[in-house]
Amino acid sequence: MENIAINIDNVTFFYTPEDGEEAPRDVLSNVSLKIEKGSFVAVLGHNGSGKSTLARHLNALLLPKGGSVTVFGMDTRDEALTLEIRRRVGMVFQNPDNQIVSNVVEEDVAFAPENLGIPTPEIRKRVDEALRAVGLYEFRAHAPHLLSGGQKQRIAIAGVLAMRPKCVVFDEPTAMLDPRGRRDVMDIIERMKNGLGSTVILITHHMEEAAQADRVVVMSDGKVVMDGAPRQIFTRVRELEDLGLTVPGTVKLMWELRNRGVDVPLAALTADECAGALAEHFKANNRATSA
Amino acid sequence: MLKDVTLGQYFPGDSVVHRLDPRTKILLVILYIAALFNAESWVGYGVMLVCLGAAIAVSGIRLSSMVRGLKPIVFIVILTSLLNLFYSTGEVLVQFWIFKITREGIKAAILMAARLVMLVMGTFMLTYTTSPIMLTYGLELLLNPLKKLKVPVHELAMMMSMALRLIPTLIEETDKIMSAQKARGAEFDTGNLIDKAKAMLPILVPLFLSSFRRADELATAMEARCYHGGEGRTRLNVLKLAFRDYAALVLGVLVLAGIVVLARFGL
Repeated sequence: MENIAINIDNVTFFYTPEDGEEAPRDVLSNVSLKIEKGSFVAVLGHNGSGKSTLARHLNALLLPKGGSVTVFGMDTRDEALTLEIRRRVGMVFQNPDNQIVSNVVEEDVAFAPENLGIPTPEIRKRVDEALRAVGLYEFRAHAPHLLSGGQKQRIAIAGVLAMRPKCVVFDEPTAMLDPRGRRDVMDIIERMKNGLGSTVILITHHMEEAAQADRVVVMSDGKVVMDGAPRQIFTRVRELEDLGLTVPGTVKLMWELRNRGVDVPLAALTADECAGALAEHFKANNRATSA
Repeated sequence: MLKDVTLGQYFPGDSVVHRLDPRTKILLVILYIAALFNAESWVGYGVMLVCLGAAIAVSGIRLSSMVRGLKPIVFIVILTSLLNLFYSTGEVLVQFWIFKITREGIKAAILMAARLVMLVMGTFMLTYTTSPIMLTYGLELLLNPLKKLKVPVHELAMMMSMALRLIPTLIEETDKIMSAQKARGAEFDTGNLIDKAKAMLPILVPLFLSSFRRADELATAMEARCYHGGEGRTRLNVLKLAFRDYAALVLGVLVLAGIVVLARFGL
């Protein structure tokens, strides 16, 4: 139990119906997951698969209707622990505009520490540290609405880092960003995992982003349908496509080549890996023909 | 077209006026307004004008920005001046049809116009030199004693700062919706007033819907960042009254006292 950050045990959830509505459908049904400390887990699934609902269970924004969620040993259903849970599990949402609370960058980053009642000099220290971590220290006195989408999302991340959480949940953080903003955000996530040793949970539908994780969980219709290393998951091309998901472009290329009888390995998660495998294949071919 | 909304406009700067504590500035504006309404004569107005002029000069705010901000009240100023001009009794100077212009009327009209213009300019000194966040924080601190009477001071201040925070976002959103409607053939600039008002309806409905969605998401994000009301909250920037604040307040009280004394002597 000691190296488990979050234990999701047989969780069922549905939205309570209003009067006159028909009986609700389970948004999550019997989901069980154990997330290890310091790991980087990506949760994949098409829209409506329950992945965002699952994310909201991790910091007690939603409470399970059945089963339990235990975060660093604390049950999310215990109201007295809600704040303690939320300061340990930070959450970054999809739309940066809807999570920034202040007209000044540094005041926004300070929001969470202020709520936690941290003394003023310590808040200053944390805000500066968090802004440096996302590379926006020189923008501390700016108005957030004048910054780009990617920069705004980095401010939102800084706002979460200022709580010094042990675990950060990213709920489709790049969905509204341009390619540059997306890369900046992914770089920060990578650095958080490696440098700060935080546990990172990334909800996404970008396969390339999920490929960077240590572990990929695939959800469909409120259930966990696949769970394993990216290399194992992404090679199950047919199954993923049946679930309405695509595989990373490089894996797709290898898959199509293999379908055409070219003998290349399927597991190529990055362009680099893919190029390496193809070069290896061509060289072997050349040797065979010249010999 | 919506980008130039001047609501709560703030000109950053580093003058003494900018650096005054927002609480001091709010109190000074109250003192200033009280003095303005006690001034009755040319001398009294002269003193107030010198005070206002000095504040503007020290703040480094350009006079043109001050004047530009007066645009929305031009109509009210002209109307009140005219009413004062025609409805005063005293020594008649000109008389035609049912109107008569008196010496007292002219004086009242000029002073009333000056009073309104100076009133608005004085409040501009507060909003132009204080960031909305600081202004809200200052108000919250000033109203803090009301907490004892169960007035939700922190909640009101938080609502105000959220509203200020969302203004630029909603303006951007309105622009987007208008562009989308224009792309589908909507016209906002043609027709009479009623046509224009009707054309606004398809903008307002989506704007309202998206505001509710935004508010909901923002509330969730605030909760996720441990927001739980004003209880036990600390601050990144703590307000502290400095010597200049006390000096400015003493000066403000002296000016008010001076104006009251002047008025007592009929000046």
